[in-house]
Amino acid sequence: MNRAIEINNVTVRIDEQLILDQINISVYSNEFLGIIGPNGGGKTTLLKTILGLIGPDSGFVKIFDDEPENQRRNIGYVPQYNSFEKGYPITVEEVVKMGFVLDKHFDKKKLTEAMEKVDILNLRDKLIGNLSGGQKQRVLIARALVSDPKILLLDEPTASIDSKTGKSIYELLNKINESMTIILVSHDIGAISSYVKKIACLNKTMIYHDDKEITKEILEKTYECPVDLIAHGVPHRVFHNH
Amino acid sequence: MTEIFEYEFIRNAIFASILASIACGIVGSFIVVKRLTFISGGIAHTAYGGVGLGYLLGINPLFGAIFFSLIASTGISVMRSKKNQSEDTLIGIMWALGMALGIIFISLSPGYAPDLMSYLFGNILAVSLLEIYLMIILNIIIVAVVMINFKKLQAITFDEEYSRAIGINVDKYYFILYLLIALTVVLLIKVVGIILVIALLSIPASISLNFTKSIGRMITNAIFIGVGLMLLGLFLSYYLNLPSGSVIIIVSSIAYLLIYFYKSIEKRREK
Repeated sequence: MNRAIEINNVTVRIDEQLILDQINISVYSNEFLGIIGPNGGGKTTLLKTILGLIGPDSGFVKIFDDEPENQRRNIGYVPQYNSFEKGYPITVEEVVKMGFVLDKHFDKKKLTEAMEKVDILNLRDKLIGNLSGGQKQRVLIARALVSDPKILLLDEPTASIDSKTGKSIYELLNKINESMTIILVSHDIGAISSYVKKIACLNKTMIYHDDKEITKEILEKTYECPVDLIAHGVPHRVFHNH
Repeated sequence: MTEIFEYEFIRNAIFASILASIACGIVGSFIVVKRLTFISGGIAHTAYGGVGLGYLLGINPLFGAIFFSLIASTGISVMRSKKNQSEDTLIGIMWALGMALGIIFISLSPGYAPDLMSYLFGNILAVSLLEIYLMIILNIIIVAVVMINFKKLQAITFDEEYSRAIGINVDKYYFILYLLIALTVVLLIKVVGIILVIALLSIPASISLNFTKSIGRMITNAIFIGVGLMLLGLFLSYYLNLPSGSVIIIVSSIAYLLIYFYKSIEKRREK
C-alpha cells in the first residue's frame, strides 16, 4: 500500500511546553483515520505539524516521502466551520473559489464539481453567514476539494453540529474517502467511531491500533479519567463488549 | 447655490472629499469586516506625534504623520505576528504616547501653531493643492496595492486559519493591510482630523455592508456612500457656518443610525 503520511518520532514543544511526545504513525492511501483525545491534547498541533506549519523539535513528518511544505497542494484542509468571520460579505461560490487563491486561474468545472459533490450547488449565491452549521461545514469541505487533494484533513468537523447533521457529514466523508485519504480529529468519541476505519487516541502521546477496536483502558489512559463507552450498533461494532 | 463652486477652496474640498472616500471605501471595508477599528484608531492617534514633529522641523506635518503612522502599523504587525498577549494594552499606550509626543513637539516649536486644530478635527476647506496631489498619490498606491493583492487580502480577512494552512504568508498580508490603514489615516487627517478618522473609516463601509454580498461591491458602494456623506456634510457646514469635519461626522452618524433602525425594523417584520 502507498504510504501517504509518515510521522516518525515527532516531538513538539510550544513555549517550552511539551505538546506532542514521540508520536509515531503511518497513514496509507485511502485510509480514514480518526484521532480522538481531550481538548488541549495536541490534536490541532498534530494537524499543523502534518501541514508543515509547525516544525517538530525532533523526529520528522513526510507526506508521500516528501517534505510537508512541498506537498501542501496535495493536502486539503478543513478548519472548524466557526473559524471564519461570520458577517463577511461573501457568497458560497466565492468561498469555495478561495480554494484556488494561490492559482493564477480558477477551474470553473472543478468549482462546480466540488459544490455538486457536497450537495451545495443550490446554495451557491447565498451569503455564507446565512447558512446552517452543517451547510457551512459542507462549504468548507468543498473549498478543500477544489484543488484535487490526495489527503483531506479535518479539524472537529462536527463540533457544535446536531447529531443528525453530523451523521450526514460523516456519510459525505465516507463517500469522499473512496478516492482520498482522510484524517480527522475530534473530541467526540461517539460520533467518530461508527464511520472511520482506524482510530488513534492522542493526549501528548499517541496510542494507535491497526484495527479499530479501542478498549476502555486505552481511552481512560488518553483522557486520564474514567470514560464510559457507549457502543453503537451501527454500522459495525467498535468497542469491546461490556 | 452655484456661486460656491467658484471658490478654489471649495473645489479643493470637493476633490478632497472624493479622494478621501476612495481610500475610506477600500480600506474601511477591510477594517469593518475584520473589526480593526481600534487598531486604526491607534495608528491615527500615533500619527499626531508626527504632526508635532513636522511643526518642530518646519516641514509639512502630513509628512511627519506618514512617518509616524507607518512606524505604528509596523509595530502592530510585529505584535500580531508574535501573537503578543498584551497587544491591546500596547496599542492603547502607543495611542496615548503618540498624542503626548505630538503635544511636546509642538510646545518645543518656535511660535504659535495656528492650524493645529485642523489636524485634530479636520478642515477640509483648508486643503491645499499640494495636499490634493499628496492625496492622489496615496490613493494610487492604495488602489494598486489592493488590486494586486485582492484575493489574498480577502482570504486572510475571511479565514485566517485556512489561509495559513494552505501556505499564504498571513503576517505579510496583514502588514500590507496595516500599512494601507496608515496611508489612509494620513489621507483623512486634513478632511476630518485625527480624532474623527475612525468614523470615516467605519461608517461608509458599515452602511455598505448592509446591502452587499461581496467585498468588492461593499468597497464600491462604500466609496459612493462616502462621497455622498462628505459632500452633504461639506455643504451643510458651509451654509450653517460650522466646522466641516464635525458636520461630516454628525451627518454620517445620523445616516448610519437611520440605516441601522431601518434594518432592525425590517428584520423584525421578516420574523
